[in-house]
Amino acid sequence: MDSLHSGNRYRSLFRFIIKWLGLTILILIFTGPYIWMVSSAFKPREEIFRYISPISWRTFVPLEPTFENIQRLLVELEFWRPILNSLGIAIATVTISLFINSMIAFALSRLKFPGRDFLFILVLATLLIPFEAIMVPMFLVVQNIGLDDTYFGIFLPWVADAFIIFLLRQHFVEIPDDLQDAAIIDGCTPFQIFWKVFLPNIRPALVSAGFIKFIYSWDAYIWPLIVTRDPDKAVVAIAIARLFTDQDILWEFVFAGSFLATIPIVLLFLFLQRYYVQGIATTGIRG
Amino acid sequence: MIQAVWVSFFSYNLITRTGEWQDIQNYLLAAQDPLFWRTIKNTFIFFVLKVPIQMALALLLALLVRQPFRGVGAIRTVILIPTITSMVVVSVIWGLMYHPNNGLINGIFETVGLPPQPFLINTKQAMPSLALMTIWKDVGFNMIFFLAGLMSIPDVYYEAGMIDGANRWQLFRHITLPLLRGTTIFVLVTSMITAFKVFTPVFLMTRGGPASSTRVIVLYIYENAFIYNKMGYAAAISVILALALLLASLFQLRYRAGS
Repeated sequence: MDSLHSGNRYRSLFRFIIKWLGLTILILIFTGPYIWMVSSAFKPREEIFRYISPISWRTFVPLEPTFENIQRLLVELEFWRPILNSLGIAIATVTISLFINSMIAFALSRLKFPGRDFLFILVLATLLIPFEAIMVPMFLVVQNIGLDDTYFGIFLPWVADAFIIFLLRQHFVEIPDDLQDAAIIDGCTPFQIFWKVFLPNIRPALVSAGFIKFIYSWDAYIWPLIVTRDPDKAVVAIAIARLFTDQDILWEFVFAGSFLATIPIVLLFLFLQRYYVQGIATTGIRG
Repeated sequence: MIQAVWVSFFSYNLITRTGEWQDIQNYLLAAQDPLFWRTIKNTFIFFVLKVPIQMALALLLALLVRQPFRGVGAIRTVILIPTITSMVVVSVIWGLMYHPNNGLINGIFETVGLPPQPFLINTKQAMPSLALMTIWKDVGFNMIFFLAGLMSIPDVYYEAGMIDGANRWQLFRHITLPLLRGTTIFVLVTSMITAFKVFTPVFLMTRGGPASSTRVIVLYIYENAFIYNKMGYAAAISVILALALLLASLFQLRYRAGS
């Protein structure tokens, strides 16, 4: 009886250890690259290479933490410029696209006009063709209207977004008709109904759409690569890629630049995770 | 899109901005271009290496983070962080991790006594290395859909199954899997599209090399359009890619409409 009892205890202790060992390895697989990136961003160049083999805690902790990499990257290599470019483009993309796409979503869900459902299907159809398959003609269009190598040209193709229209429409549809009827009786114009009654009611969906749009704008690489030549107009993704593909990889600057480009988004994500997950999941459970 | 079809019938010169009507020459060119077929094959290999493993892991992780235990929220967050990190950052950091001499992964290999590997500079290892990296990045994205699918399965099904004496594997096999079919098809098609349009990691980490072993279709479109100045040819390949992906999407919509 006694030995059986202690056998059970050992077995449950064993299972406990296995479970937490597994979870620790899982967490390390996903966080390891980030820990390496962040610690290396604060290491002098020689220290980055010194503790790679064998691996020890020194690989992941700066022994003499320094801001020199980040400072030199920002000032000497003018990394502040792509950061400002990317921020400005992301903010412009998010505000303009939320404004325009929410109006389209409103029209496609609450206004009645002939051909509405066909229009909505047309909008959804654009989701089926990925950007990579139309980047060549898109570039020719942008070039023909003279917007290549401009900030405007970088974000213009991203303003209309079927995903956001779909997401916001899902939420507009759920608002009861009574609310719309009451507003019409009160003498509201369609725009007032949209702006004062409907928009405030879908605030969480707007946060989802805005955050997802921000991430995609920050992430964009291939389009800015095609459409800009002027190094002053480079976005963060372009600037980091250039540090990496230079003749000699500038390891310390690659780490510092990646750190600057990633950590603000991750911090934002910690607060907005719920909205992100809900926004993404909505597209998957549609019928 | 219409413009793409239009341009694909021309030989368009980016610098002079002029073109000549070429009929279906660009498409015939593609059919006879061994490098074009190579890029299709490579893209397909990438898809095969990446998507099945990624989906299986995503489902496993979804089942794991669905359990209520202390710290599960943190694990979910950690799995999702790569999905919100920019592809360029992931590519450059993994590019350094795969570095043959100073990379983190060979550091780990040497520490545990494994021989160091060439990874991206070896024709056999380059594509699997790229696939592994994108699995790491995209698995959380797939997990979100599987998690939403799992949540939509009513608990009463499991309760009924347990009353009938089913064990955990039987519950999974006969309740979870069949009810996740719609989700699985959706994830398969979206992951397939993502795999077929891969560009950034390949462009940054291998440039299609070594010896074209990782030259994928979007990279080939980019090179033709913006390096070799063959816009018409690039547009023709784009149209072929778009049609292929459109077919995959329609298959998914049809399946969903049918069920």
